Amino acid sequence: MTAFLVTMGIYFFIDLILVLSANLQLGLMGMANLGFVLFLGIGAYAATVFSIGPEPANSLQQYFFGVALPFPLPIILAIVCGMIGGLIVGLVSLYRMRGHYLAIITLAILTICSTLVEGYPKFLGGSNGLTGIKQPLASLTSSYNGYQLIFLGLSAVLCLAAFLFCQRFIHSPLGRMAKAVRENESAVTTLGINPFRVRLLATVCGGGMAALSGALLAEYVTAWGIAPWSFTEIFPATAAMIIGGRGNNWGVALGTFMTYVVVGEGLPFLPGISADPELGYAIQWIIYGVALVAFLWFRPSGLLPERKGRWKHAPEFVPAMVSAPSDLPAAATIAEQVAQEGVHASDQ
Amino acid sequence: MSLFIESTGFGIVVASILSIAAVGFTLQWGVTNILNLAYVDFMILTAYLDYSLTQVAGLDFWLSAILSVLAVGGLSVAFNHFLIQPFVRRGIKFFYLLIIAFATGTVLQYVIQSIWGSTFFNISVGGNQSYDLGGMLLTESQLIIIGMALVVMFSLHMLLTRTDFGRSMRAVAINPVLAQCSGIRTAVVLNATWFLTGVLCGISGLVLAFNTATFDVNTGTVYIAQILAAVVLGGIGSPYGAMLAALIIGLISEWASAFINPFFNVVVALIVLVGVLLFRPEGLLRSLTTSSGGGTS
Amino acid sequence: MPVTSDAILEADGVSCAFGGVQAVDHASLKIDRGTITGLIGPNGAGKSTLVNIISGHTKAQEGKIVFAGHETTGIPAYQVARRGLIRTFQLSSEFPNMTLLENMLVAPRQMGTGFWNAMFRKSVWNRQEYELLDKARHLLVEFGLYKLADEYAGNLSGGQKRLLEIARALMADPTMLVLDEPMAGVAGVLIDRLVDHILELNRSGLTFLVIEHDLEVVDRLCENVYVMAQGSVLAYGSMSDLRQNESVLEAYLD
Repeated sequence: MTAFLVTMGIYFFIDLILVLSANLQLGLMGMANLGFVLFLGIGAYAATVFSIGPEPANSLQQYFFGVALPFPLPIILAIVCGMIGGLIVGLVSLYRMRGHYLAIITLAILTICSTLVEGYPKFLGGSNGLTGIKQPLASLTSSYNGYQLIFLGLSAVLCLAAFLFCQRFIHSPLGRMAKAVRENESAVTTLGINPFRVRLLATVCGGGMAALSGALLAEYVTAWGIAPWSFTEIFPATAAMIIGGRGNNWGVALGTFMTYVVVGEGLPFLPGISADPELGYAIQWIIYGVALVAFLWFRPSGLLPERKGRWKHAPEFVPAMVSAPSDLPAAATIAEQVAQEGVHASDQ
Repeated sequence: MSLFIESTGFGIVVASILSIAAVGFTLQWGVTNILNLAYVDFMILTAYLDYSLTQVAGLDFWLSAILSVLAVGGLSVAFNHFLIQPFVRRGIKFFYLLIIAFATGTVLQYVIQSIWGSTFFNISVGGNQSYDLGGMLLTESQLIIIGMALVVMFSLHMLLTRTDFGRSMRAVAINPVLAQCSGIRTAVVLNATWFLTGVLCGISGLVLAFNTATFDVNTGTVYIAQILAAVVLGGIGSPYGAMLAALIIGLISEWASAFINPFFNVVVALIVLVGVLLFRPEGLLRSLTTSSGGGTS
Repeated sequence: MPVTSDAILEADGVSCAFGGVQAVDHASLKIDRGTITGLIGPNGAGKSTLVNIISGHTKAQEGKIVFAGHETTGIPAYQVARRGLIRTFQLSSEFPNMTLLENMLVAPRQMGTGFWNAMFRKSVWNRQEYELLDKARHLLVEFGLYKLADEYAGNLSGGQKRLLEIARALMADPTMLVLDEPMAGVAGVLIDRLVDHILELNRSGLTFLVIEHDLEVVDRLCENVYVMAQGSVLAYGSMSDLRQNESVLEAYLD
């Protein structure tokens, strides 16, 4: 039982990093970067290639390049590759593409990459994928359960780092600027803000984070292929973000828990489903779809909506320090102004 | 050289299938302003329905074909009427509509899988007898497919230009408010358009399955790339653009597949798509409508 | 002692066409520092397009724009804004899912918007944040919007949104404000408030260019007015002068 919980925890942390990265691009910035799972794939392949060493002469798998770097280099390099991927995709698509077009172009880039990988097996293993990925920190213990706990700790720490990163991003003036770009792009240009820079930044950061998620996933499962970063994987991540609350990192965590853990891992335990895993799988996706539509209809802001900006430790506001009283109407105190405003506020 | 002519023949077959699919898709996008990512899943559903009607229920080939196509047409209308329009009336962000369509497609895939299982199926038309047409080796099946495409294109052209419905459809695509003011019942036209495009979707699904040795739930998934390429290249909302673009993409894909790498038919379509988006997003031909979905401001 | 007012904004022979329609046709104007100038004309005269060109949102095909002594032709809109020229739009452009205070705080140049600063140097921008917050709150009080400081901007009435837009623009320390139909959709009482605010701000040195249809408002606000019709500038002068001008009357009656 504990082993199961540990595994669930690991998957939760890994998936949360991915959904946080989606939240940064789709939630905070409101960009239709639907192809974000590409960065998951980039990170996973990067971590693989930087840890399994050169292609052995007699092995069944083929890849174009490999080094055996020790932990934590594969993970760090994976993040860098993800950021570069985000930069390239951003430069290509973000300058002019919006809305439907951005969605299509990111999906197209995703599909081009997966088709190239599949079509050139010598590049990254093709549809057979790659196995034998080295696990980080494996040397610390020889016990299976011990290693699970180590990986749990590793993924928890990295997830926490990603979470804090996103919190800082969203709650900083940069995050506020990002929200403004989302809300009204032309208004933001009249205030001297360059929307392209902010979008690109969010895509680069999102790319790095999704790559981290992919790297961890590949290193945990020790195998990687094309399926985990295919079209269909976009769906649960987006559902988690919308159900939990887009733009709110805590919401995203809750949403990830609800979708990936409660439904994803918990469903197979229901009687009738454990007998037929295919049916269970189908029901899981149907639940995701129905929940998504239900939330979009009844509560589009999600379980934990985006919070209003708050300044908890700001010094107290003393309106009497306003400019020379002769310029102002006689009712200079807040109380009187509020009383007056009560009339004006009802103007339509 | 013979490889070139042969692949040209295949290109024409691919173009035939693609043109039916792309015309349906582009009309859905142009008239309703929806990027329907569930389209390919409706396509493949038609193939599954046809399989069950012929193999399981034992119905006549053409009867099953017609029934399954009509069924998908009806499902498309239901999809628009019960799922999409309520959200549109609410003023939902286009992005969420995209997710809804995407989700519907994925759910549909899994529903199909739970009903029919994940084995591969086969439906086919005509025989496997090959005909040599100046170097192009096409089977009877493929010739029938090309014929069907021509019939569909021609009928559609007649519908768009000669009937009131066709004109109403174009009016609604260009300016829904104005269309309504001039007495066109927009809601009816929308539903009728979805039925029509659903039928096109169904037909394209059937011919896709006819041309593929065996099909399963995932056969359609990659196909969306070629449909999008044809639709964007041809100009969103322009059926004639879609037909022309389908021909271009069908030919280029097969040539690339023959001469470079079998996987390249998809990659080529996607490169065309990305290229058009970056350099000429309005496509080859002027579209039916200016509201091509999600542009800036 | 006469005050020599220099031109803060000059548009010279600006032209722009869209799909066969000549929206702006060799239009020129000159705005002096510290003035409130009006820009009026019948629908389709090209006023908004000209303003779009001035603010950098549309590219001119011919002509030159000079703002505060530097040429700004062809410069992207956000850079024009950074030089001190801020404009508003006909449709209210508040950030609807952000509070009024958040709206206000987006505008000024601040330290926490660069990636490195935002992520790793919070102590630096946090102090500035409180200063800006203070300034924003004072402005909201001045504009009578303080009670709604934590409301979502999307929930405001039309007139309140207009006030917010101007208050928000002020946070960016502009030298010139271009207002595109600021009174559109604003109810009677708030029009007076808006007019008072504009006059007040002008007294402290802010230059204004105002596109307006409501000629009474133009009369109260503007010393001089440009009249545009069919893409070019038809006339320039005070409202009383223009009322006698034949070609102006014709343009409006057509």
